[in-house]
Amino acid sequence: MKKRGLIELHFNWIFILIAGAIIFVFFINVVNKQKDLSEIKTSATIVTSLESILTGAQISTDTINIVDLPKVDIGFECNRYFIGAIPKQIKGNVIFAPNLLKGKKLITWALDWNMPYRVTNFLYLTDPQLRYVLVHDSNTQSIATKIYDELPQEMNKELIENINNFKNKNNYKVKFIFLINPNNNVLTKLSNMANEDVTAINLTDIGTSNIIPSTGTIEFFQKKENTWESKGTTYYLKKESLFGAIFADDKDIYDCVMKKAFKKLNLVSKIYSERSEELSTNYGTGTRCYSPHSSANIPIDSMKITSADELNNFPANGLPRMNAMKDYNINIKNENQRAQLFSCALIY
Amino acid sequence: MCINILKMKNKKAQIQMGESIAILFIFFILVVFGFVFYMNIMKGSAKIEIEENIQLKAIGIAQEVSFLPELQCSEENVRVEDCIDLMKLDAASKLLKDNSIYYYDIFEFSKIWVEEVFPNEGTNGTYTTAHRQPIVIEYPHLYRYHYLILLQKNITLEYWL
Repeated sequence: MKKRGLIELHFNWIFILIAGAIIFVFFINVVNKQKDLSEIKTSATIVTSLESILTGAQISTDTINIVDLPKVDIGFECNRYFIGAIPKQIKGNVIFAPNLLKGKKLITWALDWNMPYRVTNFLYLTDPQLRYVLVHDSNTQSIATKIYDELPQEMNKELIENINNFKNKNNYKVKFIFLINPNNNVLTKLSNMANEDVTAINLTDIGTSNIIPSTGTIEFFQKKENTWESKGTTYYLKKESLFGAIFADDKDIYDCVMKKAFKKLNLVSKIYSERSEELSTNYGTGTRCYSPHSSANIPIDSMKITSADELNNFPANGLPRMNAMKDYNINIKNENQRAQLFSCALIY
Repeated sequence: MCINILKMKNKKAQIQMGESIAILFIFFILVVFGFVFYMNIMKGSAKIEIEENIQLKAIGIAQEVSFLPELQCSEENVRVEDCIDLMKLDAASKLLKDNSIYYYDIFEFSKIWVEEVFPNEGTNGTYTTAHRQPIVIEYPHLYRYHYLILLQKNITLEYWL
């Protein structure tokens, strides 16, 4: 009898234990599912908000915005960005950004890229925790100061003449902009940082004047233990793309984003080419307004053809190609001034 | 006597077990009800959120269209707000069709068209739910402006005047 009572008592406890465990597992599952769901929801909300922010920043040029974000990692590639596990297409937008943004604040800076007509907005993204160091000597001081002044004030930027004065401030990424030969000594102070978090560009032909040249060469570097490893040479066309190289982490992404810009340049040039052709036909041969429009069509067409080629081959054609595009740009500008002088409809 | 007591105890234990199972059953039914109720509320709020996102996207696309350099009027490269250059529009309608894959990224499944409201009133007034944005259109060689409305609805990509 006593034994039977004991078994009954034990069975009750075992039953409670099993039922309790089932209830416990059920609620743990519900909580886990909800946690995953809310993480996805938060990421999706940030993606949507970021899309609106990017659209806003794209349509208002020459503006700097500081956006507060929840603490999330935002990964950037040439054609898409990631928030958590959620990817989003960048679409046709031209965005220069580091591979990873970790901060709670996002700095957005938008500039027009004009060739000489407006082609697209370049959007630059960074984070105040990301450090940009412009390294110069006495010869390149004025151009370094010019670049420094043009970059947004909100950025974590500094000018350094003596690289030995450089101190590690434990930023999660550091980018050097060398206006002198890259110095390996600085890397000993950043030995605790991952190689991909320390990058540099060298503006090899920036010159010594205080005007940023319209075209130039950019060599990309990445830290490889205690030395700088060259990642290749590319080129910029107008200062907006030079700023793009400052914001982009590596050469491949910079080249890819520039190809997107050339695609847009090709499309916009097609529009202006047809517009000028139609305008010159409307004005008629021999009229005062015919000449600027028909003359402008030559450089516009050249721009169209060259940009189509750069779309596939950038940066293989080198600096001469960038200089040629710069010349077309000047020619179109001159014809536009002539159209204005004759009181005709403008080219752009 | 002994057998009777044993039978009674057995019955008591069975009743106790039945009670416990019934409590558990009711508990799980309540949990399921709660879960279904919660899911329904979540579904409703998700629907509202999706709708909000669609509207937000429609406004975003319309904004992007009105700022497209392929369409926007400019004077010495200074943008004229809410203005479309007619000659650019003519050229763009062909260009957009030829590069539909590229422009799909911007417009997605949107249908965008401009409708004249002054001096000649347009005839396409059927899309009352579409996003409407007043704009002017410029005839560059004639220095003449017409007043239009830029409409956008998430269907397909097309331009006409």
